[in-house]
Amino acid sequence: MEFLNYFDNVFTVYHIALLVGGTFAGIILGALPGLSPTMSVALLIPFTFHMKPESGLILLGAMYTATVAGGAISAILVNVPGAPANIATAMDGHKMAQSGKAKDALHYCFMSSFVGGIFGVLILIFFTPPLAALSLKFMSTELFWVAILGITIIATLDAKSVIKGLMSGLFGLMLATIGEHPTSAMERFVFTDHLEGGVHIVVGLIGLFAMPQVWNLLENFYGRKNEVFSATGDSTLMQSFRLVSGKIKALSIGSIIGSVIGIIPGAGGQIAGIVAYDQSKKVSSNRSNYGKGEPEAIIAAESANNSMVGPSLIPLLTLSIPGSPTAAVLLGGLLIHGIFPGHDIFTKNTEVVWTFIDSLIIAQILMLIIGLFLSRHSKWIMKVPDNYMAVGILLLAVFGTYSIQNDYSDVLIMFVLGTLMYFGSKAGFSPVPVVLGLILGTMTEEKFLLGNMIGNAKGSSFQHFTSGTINLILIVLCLASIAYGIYSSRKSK
Amino acid sequence: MKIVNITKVALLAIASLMLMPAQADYPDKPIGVMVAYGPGGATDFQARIATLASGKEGLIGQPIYILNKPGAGGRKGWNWFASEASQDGYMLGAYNVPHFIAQSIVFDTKYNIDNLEPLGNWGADPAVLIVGKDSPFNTVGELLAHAEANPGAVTISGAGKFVGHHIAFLQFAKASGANLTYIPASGGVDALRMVKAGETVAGFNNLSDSARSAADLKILAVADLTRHEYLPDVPTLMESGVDVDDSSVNFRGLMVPAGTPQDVIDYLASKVPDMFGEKKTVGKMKATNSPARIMTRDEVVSMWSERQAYLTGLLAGLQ
Amino acid sequence: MASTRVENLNRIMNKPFKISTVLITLFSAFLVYASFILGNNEDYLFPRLISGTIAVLSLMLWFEKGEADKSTNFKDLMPGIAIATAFILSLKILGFYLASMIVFFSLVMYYSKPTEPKDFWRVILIKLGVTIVFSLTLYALFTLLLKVRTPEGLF
Repeated sequence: MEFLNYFDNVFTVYHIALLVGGTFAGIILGALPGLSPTMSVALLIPFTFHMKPESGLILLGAMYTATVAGGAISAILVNVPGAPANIATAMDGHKMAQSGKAKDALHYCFMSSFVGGIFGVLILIFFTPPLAALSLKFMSTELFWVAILGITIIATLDAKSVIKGLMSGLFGLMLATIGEHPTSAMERFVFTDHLEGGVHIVVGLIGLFAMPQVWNLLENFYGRKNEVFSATGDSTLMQSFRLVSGKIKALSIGSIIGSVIGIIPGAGGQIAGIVAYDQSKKVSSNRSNYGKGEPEAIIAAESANNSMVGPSLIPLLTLSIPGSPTAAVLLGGLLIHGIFPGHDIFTKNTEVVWTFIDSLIIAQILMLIIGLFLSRHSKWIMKVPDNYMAVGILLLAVFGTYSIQNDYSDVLIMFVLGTLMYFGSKAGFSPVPVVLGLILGTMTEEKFLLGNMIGNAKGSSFQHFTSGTINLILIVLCLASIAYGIYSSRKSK
Repeated sequence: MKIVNITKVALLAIASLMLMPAQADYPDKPIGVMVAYGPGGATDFQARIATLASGKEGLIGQPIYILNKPGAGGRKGWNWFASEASQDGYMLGAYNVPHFIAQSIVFDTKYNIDNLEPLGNWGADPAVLIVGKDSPFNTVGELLAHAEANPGAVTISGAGKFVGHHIAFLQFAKASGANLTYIPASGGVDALRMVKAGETVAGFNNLSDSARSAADLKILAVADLTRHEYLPDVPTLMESGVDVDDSSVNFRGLMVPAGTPQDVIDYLASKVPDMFGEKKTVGKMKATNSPARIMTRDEVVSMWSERQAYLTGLLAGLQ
Repeated sequence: MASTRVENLNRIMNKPFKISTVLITLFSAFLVYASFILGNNEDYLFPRLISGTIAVLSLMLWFEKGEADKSTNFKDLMPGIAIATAFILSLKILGFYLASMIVFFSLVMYYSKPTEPKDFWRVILIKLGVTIVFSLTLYALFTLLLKVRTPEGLF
């Protein structure tokens, strides 16, 4: 219970001010397209430069926590996820908003984020040593199977047509191959200099979600009444609380899956939401309502997102191995303050590290309070006239995209890809599998090639990929996921 | 006569003003430093520390901001820098040797040592040969003996192709004559993970990062000419009997694109090493475990051309 | 054997003609071309695998009984796409903020509902006001707070 001793350090006027400011700003930034948690933390690191280490880390931690939750706001209100982690939330959250229940959806989102977030931090506090050891066991072959597991759920994500779902996912994988080859470093598909750096995941995300929304608002501008959503459908905070606390199954699936994915090194953290969404759908009694505005879907996805935050720091703090892209940036934030990750971090930097972890708990609480407060005002966003909304999303998408890598080419890629996606959606294609493919593409290819090289050096590549407990468990999960996909698509016919 | 003279003087003054656009008061606005890697990485945060003192009296005299242009292992940022960055001294760039030189040899890049002008060097991070802490190998000799008995079975990770780690690997393989397998990870962090997890037999990685992770690793040798102050007990590769020099050391410093006026280059070159050597900056470099090595423009110019000549030979026939 | 072929043919003929299926097949063919012909070394193994699968799936699409494509209201969409494209292409020339103000104002002016107040000048003033406020917000957020440096343009 050592962690209880350091709350004093958090409860200073300065640190509470940093936490409140960081959380508030984080929720707002997270809601803007392009300012993903990774981006926001990266932009903030220079600000912490002149602070004391614990103050800087408190601010970064609050930012990490709040941006992950904030990304759900734009996912729900305008169907543009703030970060890859919030894709799953957009599917049902925006449907709820369209039927006048935006506030409810936001309530569910922040409450389940809070539950997941606290769960994740508790995992970080109590299970760091064993989980750090587990995290080291995920090597190239294991990570390859994790990526394949992600790919197996692509086809069933788009309920309308398995073929189109698969094609969209494969198109995403194809997009991921543009640019540098993962092991030979040679360029692929660089027809123009603009494609030199490939398609950045967040650039793809903004294009695929934001641009279709812009075109949709403009195309139907004259045809649609400027509907003002009736507030009658809104439930009170208490009703939302009762609903969320009744969804134990969705909450626990989300929190556990998020935590597990958090400790897996690398890009995996971004798929926590979508994997939890998929799993909770499989066991839910409201299965048929998924994709149509199901509260359980939001609860599973958002609890997974935030429960990923704490565990993603486990390998980071003890092994210097980040569990998510944001944790990777946070590594720079640690080093810049002279805090070096390692097994002895809890003894060497006791005060700073425990203060940081304690502040994460407070950040979760603040995120809940500020988030619920902002939810009350969500109706103002919904009342913005379509023409202003369209151009607002367009400009935010352009500025957000540019700020990711300070690159004009990214803006072009975002614009072209998003416009293509809009016409694709007319033919029944969905952006969700495309983004998932884009996230998993590099991971799949890179881990396969590296595993193959190492396997060949060891003698047999095939054996290398199919031996080891974790590999075997993952292979069984992949097969089960495929079998379930076939079974459910047969049944729906 | 007088009037003619005044006109002459005035004309001359105007002409000279037009020839030297505002260089007299350079620098009169903040200066950018392009970093070809993302924020939070080693090059990024070292660049931020190294340029901390720029605004001080007697140094550059203007604050410096960082502009990150990551992508394609640095190629994207450096391509932009060589072809599009302004040549007025208001956009500097951070270089990584041997990365950008190796890339300009292997790939069709817009940059090479001839269209870039160095200003000064702030850091040098040698590659070190590491194995996991449970590894049976304790010396370079033991590792090489194992490689001799099992050709190709010794896997060595590094942060991708044509970076310092890869150069160190190529030199090591060439000098030892052993049959080794290079595993190009997606970055230094992942390459280090591979060694810690025992996924690869060994690895070349940054001295700074490896020294920090000493509890999970055994550091067998340093790929530099001398031992390093952070690791006084670790021998160089040469001391271990493998003839590898300092060509893989990751040098970091500042440069401007060719075409920048000579007086601006001279001004910056005279101030930049002092800025790197400022007391607080040196302290902060030390506190973050960032190995410093301050070099002047002239030293860097000759270091660049040495590397260019050596790497052209080493990488020939590799593509 | 022969009867199934006739059946399949019937299925193709009977389903509503989909322009999207044709376009997608052409697009898949392009992906195959790009990864097999343009990319001519072993680095292209993974893309070849993917584009090959996409091509097979695009052929299967011809036999799938799916919903008809949604129609597109080009009359209302095209002006928006034209204005936005001009905006994207002018970003580096005009600078991000000037271009943004122009596109904001042009889009909200072009897309206006007949139900808006009749007073022409009042409408312009309101829209101009919102344009300026939104641009200033963007500037405060990105340039002042986040220190993102956008290209300044030639002016």
